[in-house]
Amino acid sequence: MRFLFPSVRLLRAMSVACLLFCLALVYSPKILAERMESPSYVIQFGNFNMTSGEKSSASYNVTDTVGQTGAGPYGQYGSSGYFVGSGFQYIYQFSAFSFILSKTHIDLGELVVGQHNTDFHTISITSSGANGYVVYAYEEHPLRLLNAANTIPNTTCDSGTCTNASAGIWTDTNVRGFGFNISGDDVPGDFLNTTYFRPFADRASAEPMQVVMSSNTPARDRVATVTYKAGVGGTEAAGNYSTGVVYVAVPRY
Amino acid sequence: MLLYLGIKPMSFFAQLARILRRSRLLRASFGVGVRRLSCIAQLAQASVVRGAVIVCGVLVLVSCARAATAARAQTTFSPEAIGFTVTPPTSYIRVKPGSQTTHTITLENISRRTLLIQPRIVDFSTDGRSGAPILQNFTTFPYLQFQDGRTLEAGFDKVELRPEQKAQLTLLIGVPPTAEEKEWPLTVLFFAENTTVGVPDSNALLQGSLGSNMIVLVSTESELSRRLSIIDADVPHFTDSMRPLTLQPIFKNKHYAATVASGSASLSDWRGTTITRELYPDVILGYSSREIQALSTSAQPDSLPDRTPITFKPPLFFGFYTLSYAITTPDGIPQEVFTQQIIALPFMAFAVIVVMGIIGASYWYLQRRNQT
Repeated sequence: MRFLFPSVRLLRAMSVACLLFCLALVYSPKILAERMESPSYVIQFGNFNMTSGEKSSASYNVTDTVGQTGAGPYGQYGSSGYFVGSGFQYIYQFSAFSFILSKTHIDLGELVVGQHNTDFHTISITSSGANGYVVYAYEEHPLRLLNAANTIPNTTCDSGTCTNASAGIWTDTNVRGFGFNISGDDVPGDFLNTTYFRPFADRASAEPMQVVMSSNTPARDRVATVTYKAGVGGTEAAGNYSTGVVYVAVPRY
Repeated sequence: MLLYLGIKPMSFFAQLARILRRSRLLRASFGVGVRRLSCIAQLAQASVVRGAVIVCGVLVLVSCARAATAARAQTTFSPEAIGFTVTPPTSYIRVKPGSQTTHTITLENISRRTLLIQPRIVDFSTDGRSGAPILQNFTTFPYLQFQDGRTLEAGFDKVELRPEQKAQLTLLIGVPPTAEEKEWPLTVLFFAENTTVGVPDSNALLQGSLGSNMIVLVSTESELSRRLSIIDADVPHFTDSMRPLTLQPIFKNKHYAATVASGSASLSDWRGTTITRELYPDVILGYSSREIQALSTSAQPDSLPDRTPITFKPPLFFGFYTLSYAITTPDGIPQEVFTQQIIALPFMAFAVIVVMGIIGASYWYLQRRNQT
C-alpha cells in the first residue's frame, strides 16, 4: 500500500486540475476577432492584448496596453505642435461625462417648531475631459405648502447674513428656514464644516444658479454630500411643505 | 464536468470500484494486479471525493466573490439613484454658410431605474476667466432644423431610457448662404424627470441634468487667424527675490472664432539666461477672454496634460529681468505679444533688517533713557 501513496496524490492533483480546467473553460468569456480586407484596403481587427486597462491606487493612476499593434504616443504636448495617441488606453481621454444623484427624494419629515430636520444625498461626477466640470444648483421655489401660498423662507443662518453665495453657521433651532450644506470633493471653500449652510438660489425669484461643485482638472469619481435642513417658526401653517431642487452638471470647454 | 454531464461523482467512482472488484475478466487477465487496482479504485474514490469537495469549495468561494462584487455594485447604484452619461462632453463644430452638418450626442442610463429624459438647448456665456459655461435660460441659435417641420420652441420629445440603455440625439444644423459669420456657444441639457410619487412628508424632489457643450462656428474662412492679446498680464514692476514669481495672465481673443492659447511665457535675466514655461493650450472662445496657466512639466505623453500656475523661481533671483509672453501662430511661429521689465529685490530681507534696526534703535534709546 505504501508505494501507492504517490500515485494517489498524483491522481488527486490530476482530478482537481481537470475539474479546474473544465471550470475555466465554462467561465471563460467568448473572444471574437475578424480581419476584413479587399484589394484596396485591410482593416485589421482583434489583436490579442496580453493586458490593458486602468490601474490606480491612492498615489498613482495609469492606463496601459500590452500587445497592441501600432500603439504609442507620437509628438509631444506643447513642444512639437501636435500629439497623436495611438492605443487602446487613449480612449480613456475621450471618456464620457457622468453624473449620479444617490437619490431623488429628500424626506424632511414632519416639521416641528424649535427643531431642525435634515436629510442628505450624494453627487458623483466623472469628467475625463481635460477641462473639468461645474455643477450648478437651484430650487424651483422656497419650501411651499401644497396648494397654498404659505412658504418657509430660505435660511439666512444664525447671523442673518448668509446668502446663496456665502455660507454661515446655522445651528440655532429657533432660526427657521431651508438651506443646505455640502461637503466632499470640489465644493466651495466657505462650507468650513457641517454647521455652515447656504440657501438655494431661488429660480422663482430669477436668481442665477449657484455653483456647488467645480474643478478645472479632469475629475474621476468626485463625490460630495449635500445635507438639507429645514425648520419652522411659530407663524408657519401646519402641513407638508415641498419644493424641487435641480442640479445641472456641465463640462468646462 | 461529471456534474455537467449529469453523473454524481461518488456513485460513479463507487460503481467503478465495484466493477473492478467483481470483474472476473480482469482478475483472470491481470491476477493479483487487480487487487491493487481495486485498492487504487477505493483510494481514488476517497481522494476524488476529497478533490470534488475542494473544487466545490472553490466554486462556492467564486460564487460568493461574484455575489459580493454584485452587492458592491448595487451599493453604488441603489434603486433610488439616477445616473447618466453623455458623450462627447464638448464639441467644436464648423459650418460654412450655405451648407449643413449633423452633430450626434450619445446619452446612456447608468442607473438601475428607467429615466425619462427631456433634452433642451440653451446658450451659454463665459465668465472671462475660468472656462466654466454660464448657462442662459434660452437659445438664440437660429440654424437648428427639424425634419418634421417643428420649431425649436416646441422642444424635443422626451426619451425613455431603461437601465444601461443608450440613446442618440442627432442635431441637423443648416446655415443659409447669407448667414453672418459668428460663433454660437451652446449647451445641450438632458433633464432626468423626477418620477417619485406618493411622498407623505415635507420634502424636496431632486432633478438631475447633464450638459454637452456644442460650440458652433459659422465661417467662410478656411484658415482661421489667431488674434490674441493680453488684457491683464498680472506682471509686477517689482518682485521679492525670496519668493517665486507667480502670474495669472488673462488673454483676450480678438477674433470671432475660438482659438487655442498656444505659446509660452519667458523670464530672461541681464546675463541672457532664459527660463521658459509652455502655456496650457486652453480654448478661448470668440471675443472672449480666459485666464491662462502653464502646462505642467510633469505631464506624460500618454496621460492628459495638466495645468499649473505660471511660476518662475530662478536661482539668485536678483536684479533686472524681462518677462515676455509669446503666442504661437497657426504656422507654428512664436509671436511676442507682451514684454515688461521686472526688478527683483530682497524686500523680505530689507523688511527684516528694518524691523531689527527699529528694535535695536528702540532698545538703545530705552537703555540711554534709563541711564539718564
